[in-house]
Amino acid sequence: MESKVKEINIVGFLCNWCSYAGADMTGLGRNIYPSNIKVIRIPCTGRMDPMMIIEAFHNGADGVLVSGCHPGDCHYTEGNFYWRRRYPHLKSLLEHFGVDRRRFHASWVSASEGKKFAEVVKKVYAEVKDWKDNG
Amino acid sequence: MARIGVFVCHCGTNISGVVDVSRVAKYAESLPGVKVAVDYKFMCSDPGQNTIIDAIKTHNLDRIVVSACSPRMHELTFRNTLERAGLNPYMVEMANIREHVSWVHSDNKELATEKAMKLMEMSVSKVRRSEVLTKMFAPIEKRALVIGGGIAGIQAALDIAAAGYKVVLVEKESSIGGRMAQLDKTFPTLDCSACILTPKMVAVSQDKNITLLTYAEVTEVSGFIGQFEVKIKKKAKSVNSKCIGCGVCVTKCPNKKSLSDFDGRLGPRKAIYTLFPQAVPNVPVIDRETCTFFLTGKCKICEKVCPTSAVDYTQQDELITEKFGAVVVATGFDIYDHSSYGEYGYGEIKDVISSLQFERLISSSGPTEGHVVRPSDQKEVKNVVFIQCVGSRDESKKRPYCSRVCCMYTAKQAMLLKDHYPETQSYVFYIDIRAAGKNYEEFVQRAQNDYGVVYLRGRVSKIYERGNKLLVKGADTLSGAQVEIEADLVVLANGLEPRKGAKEFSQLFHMSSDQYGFYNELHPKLAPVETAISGVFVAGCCQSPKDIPDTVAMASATAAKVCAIFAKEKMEVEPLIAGVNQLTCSGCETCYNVCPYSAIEMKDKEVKRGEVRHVAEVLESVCKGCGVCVGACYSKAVDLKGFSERQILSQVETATMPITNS
Amino acid sequence: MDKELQEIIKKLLAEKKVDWAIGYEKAYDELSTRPAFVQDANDTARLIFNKYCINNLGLYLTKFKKNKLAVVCKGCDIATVFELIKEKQFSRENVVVIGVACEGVLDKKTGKQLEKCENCRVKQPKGADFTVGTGKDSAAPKNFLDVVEFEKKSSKEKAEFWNRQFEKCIRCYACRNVCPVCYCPDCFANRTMPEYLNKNVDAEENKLFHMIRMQHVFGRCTDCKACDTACPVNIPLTLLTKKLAKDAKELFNYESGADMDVLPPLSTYNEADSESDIL
Repeated sequence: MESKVKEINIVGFLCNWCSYAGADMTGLGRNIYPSNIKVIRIPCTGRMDPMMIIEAFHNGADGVLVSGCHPGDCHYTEGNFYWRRRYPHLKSLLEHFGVDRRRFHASWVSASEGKKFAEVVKKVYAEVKDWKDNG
Repeated sequence: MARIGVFVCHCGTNISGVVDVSRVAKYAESLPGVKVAVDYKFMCSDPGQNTIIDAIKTHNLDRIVVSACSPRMHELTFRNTLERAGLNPYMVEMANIREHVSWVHSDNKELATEKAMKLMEMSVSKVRRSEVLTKMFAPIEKRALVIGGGIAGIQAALDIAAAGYKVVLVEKESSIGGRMAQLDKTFPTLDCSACILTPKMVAVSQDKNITLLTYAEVTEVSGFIGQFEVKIKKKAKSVNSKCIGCGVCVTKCPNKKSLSDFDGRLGPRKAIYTLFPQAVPNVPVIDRETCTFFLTGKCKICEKVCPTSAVDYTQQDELITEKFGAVVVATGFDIYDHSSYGEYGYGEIKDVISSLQFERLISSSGPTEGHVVRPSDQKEVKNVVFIQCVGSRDESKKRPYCSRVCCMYTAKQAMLLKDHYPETQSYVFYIDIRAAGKNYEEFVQRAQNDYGVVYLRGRVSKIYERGNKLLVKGADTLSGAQVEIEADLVVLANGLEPRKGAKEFSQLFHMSSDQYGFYNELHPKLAPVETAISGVFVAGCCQSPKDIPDTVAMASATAAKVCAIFAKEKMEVEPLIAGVNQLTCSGCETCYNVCPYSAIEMKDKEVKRGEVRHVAEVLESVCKGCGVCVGACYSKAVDLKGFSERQILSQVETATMPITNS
Repeated sequence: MDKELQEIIKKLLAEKKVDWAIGYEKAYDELSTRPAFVQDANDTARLIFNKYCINNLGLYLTKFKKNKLAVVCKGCDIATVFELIKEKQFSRENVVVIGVACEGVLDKKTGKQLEKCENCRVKQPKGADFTVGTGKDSAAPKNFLDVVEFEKKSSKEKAEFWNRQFEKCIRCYACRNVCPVCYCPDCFANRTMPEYLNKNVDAEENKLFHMIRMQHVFGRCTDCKACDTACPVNIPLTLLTKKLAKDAKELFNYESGADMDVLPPLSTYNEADSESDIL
């Protein structure tokens, strides 16, 4: 059965310097994207405590997106490199516990990639919806 | 129990046109701890801020949430508001219901309103767990580093020095002057570029506050505002400080095998050379890759003819480390390489030249001493075609932007040509004329009306070589006719692009750049010379193409910013840094291993009475607040102020809860 | 073999090279052994080693941080000791590793050899200071067949499987308490500021605890099976710890405790790390 738009809840963690600014840029450009994502600002994807993602799913989030600076552009030099290691491990572990791969995503969105952020959210929304509708 | 105030901004109609702001405020009132919730037209305005201050006093609030625009826009504004109201400035959270809601969810007002309510509720959850933080202070090294010795760098250095602060100006070539030194005359006044630039160059060399490091490059940067530590490589010039700049060595050097980049590779350059006659410092350097002595071990003529024994073949590159409080980046531009344009001959037709080559040809200090002749046969020219927008406004070359100066310099070049050779005829192919600037439009009109330059609106489809002439085929879209012009010389108006290596350079400072490689300013309107890296400023064409007056204005602006930093006794440092609870620290050194700033110190410390443990400690002046340690710590002993585990977990919990009773 | 072991430890204690020795002794019946803590050189006669010595004594290193220790280790237990040394819980100089050759240990309840002992490549201990006995290593690499099989299930089936398992969990924390790398002074599960975990015992909260614990021990867990063995309600924790070992190997080519010079995978990075799956 197709889920209602409202029923999909996605938590987004965006790094302050690139992706949060990129999402602001999406607004400046008036690029429309699904309203299901609720953004939490973090200083850096390196701050991303895997526990917070596990907690988000535990609390009932349908999807989680973590987005940061492109490799090499991290405001703190290397924070996103640490995140880039945590992500595949966490995704694999969550899948092992039964959290479908379609529910957890990561992206690189720079401060100038407003359009890309809208595209990323659309993609994540579509994946989560596919999981919710088709199992 | 926290006493929270929630303030919902209409932002004119930017927010209220999509989001039902009164519903957001009403929902806020239902949340635990919220004592007052109001909506107002412009929260950031004076009356808006006064509304907040009044509410804080009336309701005895101890923290607030502002539901408005991005915290990247106004977080500081409202921190200041709190300070004025006598509260700790860090007891405010912003819910971004403009950039993240009304501007991007205008397709469904109901959903947008619900999301705005949720984001506000998440901020309420977060602020409830905010803690009082105290600002910290750090020392300032009151010395500026200016990188790039073009007109931007020169102006910035002079202005900072004029305020009484020390400046180190680093230039990678052997002389300062940059692109402006290559130009013959400048628009719209047609005054000679060297005549207005040289006095500034000399002023730099004579200013006691400025240390000039030419033939030098920045190789490594660490630290932060107030305390940058920069490694600079001083390349071996092979000429020492005894040089008096007489130039005998250059005259006598028998090696003319290289072409002069400064002259657009239209003339030779000796192995020992100064960039141009008015070079500052007027000290030649030896290019070791082409010098006969360095290649074969024989020659040494320059050493023999030097009257002051200033030639020193044994000089080595030198790496120095210096401390600076602020940095101005003014690394300039390259011109677009037109060899990607098949229709203009792939850069292989000798008499199709770049605009910068034309500047050198017509300059009296250039390779032809000001005679505009064809590079192929050194013959004088009669018909000259100028083509605009080469590597500008061209989506197919991934250069969709306008380079802003080409319309003007093309008009200038056509006029100069007519001045030098009244019998010549110039044609300009253009897309649009962009002459926005004081006296600019008049200047282009003069070119057309007084100098008889023929402007053809259209693109050139092909340039053929026919005999010793160039056949330029194009369209005049105004008359609808196909045009063919037999030309002696074609001058391309090459667009401006970032210096080669701009991307690598930006990574030294972790500055961000746009898709072309131009450095990003912090805000396109309100912070045009700042970068996301505090204490690092940008001036001139490394940020975007611009003309000389804009570049000079921008350079002076960076100087003002630098001086504003140096005028303070101490640097205020954000207290949003990490801290360790040593009672729960397991001493595993994970944080120590991952910290990008080496801001974690491991210590054997008495954490409980009689119990010494190996634990982590944060060096507060070094920590930059990235939180990598928090993400890595599985003992949950280290936490980040302003983005604490309690705060983020509460946001997660609120984000995943449905909206209650709405 | 026991005699040789006892002599080594006797000498270490007598010469004051160590303050304590940790080994195994016989427990209440023929099939049971338990950890033995010996301080007196004349008290070493009770130390034994046999196929029922299932405990990973590496667990106790973090409880005796201030002392010089000798510890009896099967080949597999040495990985734990090395991992703890890497994590600065102990310095190499303060621990004497006495490796014992092992032919595989048995679960006394079933009488069967532990699954981890198949394809064991450290029957002959590596990196010990003293070695007792000789063992014959398997040539075949560790197999992850059961994990691979489980991975084939749909995410829904996986979720249902674990929900059933964690309904059994009584949150006794035995798994955590026997885990040698769960040495945090104050486990997240006990915290209240913030409360990462509801203290209710229900399937969802239990699962949350295990998910976080597994995340925390990733790249550090040596897959020693202590948790699996300790679990009173038979939750197949091996299916999780083995998954961690498999992922560490496949994602970061990392084997816990194998190489003293390589940092755990989440404590470092490589600029060339994989970008796949990042939007």
